Amino acid sequence: MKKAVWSILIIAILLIGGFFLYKSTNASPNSANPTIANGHVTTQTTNLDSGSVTSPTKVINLKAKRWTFTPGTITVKKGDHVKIIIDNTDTTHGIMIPDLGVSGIDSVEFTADKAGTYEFRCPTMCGEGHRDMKGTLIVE
Amino acid sequence: MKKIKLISFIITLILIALIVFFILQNKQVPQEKIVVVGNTQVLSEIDHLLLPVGSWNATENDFNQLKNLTKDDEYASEEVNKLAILTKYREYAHAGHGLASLHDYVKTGNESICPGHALSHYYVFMKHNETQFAQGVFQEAEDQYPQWIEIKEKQTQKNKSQQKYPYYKTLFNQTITDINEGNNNMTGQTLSILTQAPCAK
Repeated sequence: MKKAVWSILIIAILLIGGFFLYKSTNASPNSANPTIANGHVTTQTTNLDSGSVTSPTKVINLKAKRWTFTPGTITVKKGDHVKIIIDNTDTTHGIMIPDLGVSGIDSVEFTADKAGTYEFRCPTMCGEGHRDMKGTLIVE
Repeated sequence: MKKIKLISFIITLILIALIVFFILQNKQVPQEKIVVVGNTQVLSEIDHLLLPVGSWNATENDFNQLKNLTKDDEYASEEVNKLAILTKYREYAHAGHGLASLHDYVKTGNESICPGHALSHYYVFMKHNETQFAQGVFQEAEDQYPQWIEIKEKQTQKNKSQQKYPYYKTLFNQTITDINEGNNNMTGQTLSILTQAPCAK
């Protein structure tokens, strides 16, 4: 009889203990969604598709000012991992390269895996010269 | 007798423990609110949307993820709703500018002061019979106009290059007066000027 009582007691304690353990392990990862980050400009190395080759990121600083990009032409090599950091000096501009499927306001990052000449432009209505705010990316 | 007492005590204890266990298990854990200002996930989603909006092939549904991410922030969620409606009507230039303003808000916590854009959105919403949105953006324009003047006055005193400021000031004032008097006529050219009018930072 005593054995049965103790068994029931232990099961109850295990159940309650297990419940609290379950609660505590599930609480943390999902609730950490909001993250505050200030500058996120870093020098990086990136694994290419093969998984074995590591290529440094080519960082390009692009000045965006009504209604020009400086430099107006960017040249990179095929296979380069490129990060373009946009310095929006007067208003919010940004960059989009439709043929490469990238867009961003502060920065864009991509692998230049296709040689060619691509147009980039400002994606936000930034004023009367917005339509002419364009540049060229050359992937050699 | 003693044994029976002990057993009933333990059974009671176990029952209480089980009840507490099931209550706690079924209790809904309140979801944490998503903080929008400074949220890199929201910024990334805005960056992602610039491409379909800028390429003029975005749909209203493309904004679902952004709607979900901003639902706990009154200002941001209202802005996203407006952007989704503008996209629904293929008003991409307006939606693109709105994304930039939203990006600024998420980065800095400061709301945009763009009475020109707000006024242009008024006409766009009226064109599509979205009167509730139209009234909302008109109210925004009226509220922002004095703040815009204050900032631009200071900038003009500091930097004489703000040559177009008096022109826009007159245009905004005239447009607000016209709308208040019930005159909703607007030429395409003036609408374009309002759309391209500078914000105040």
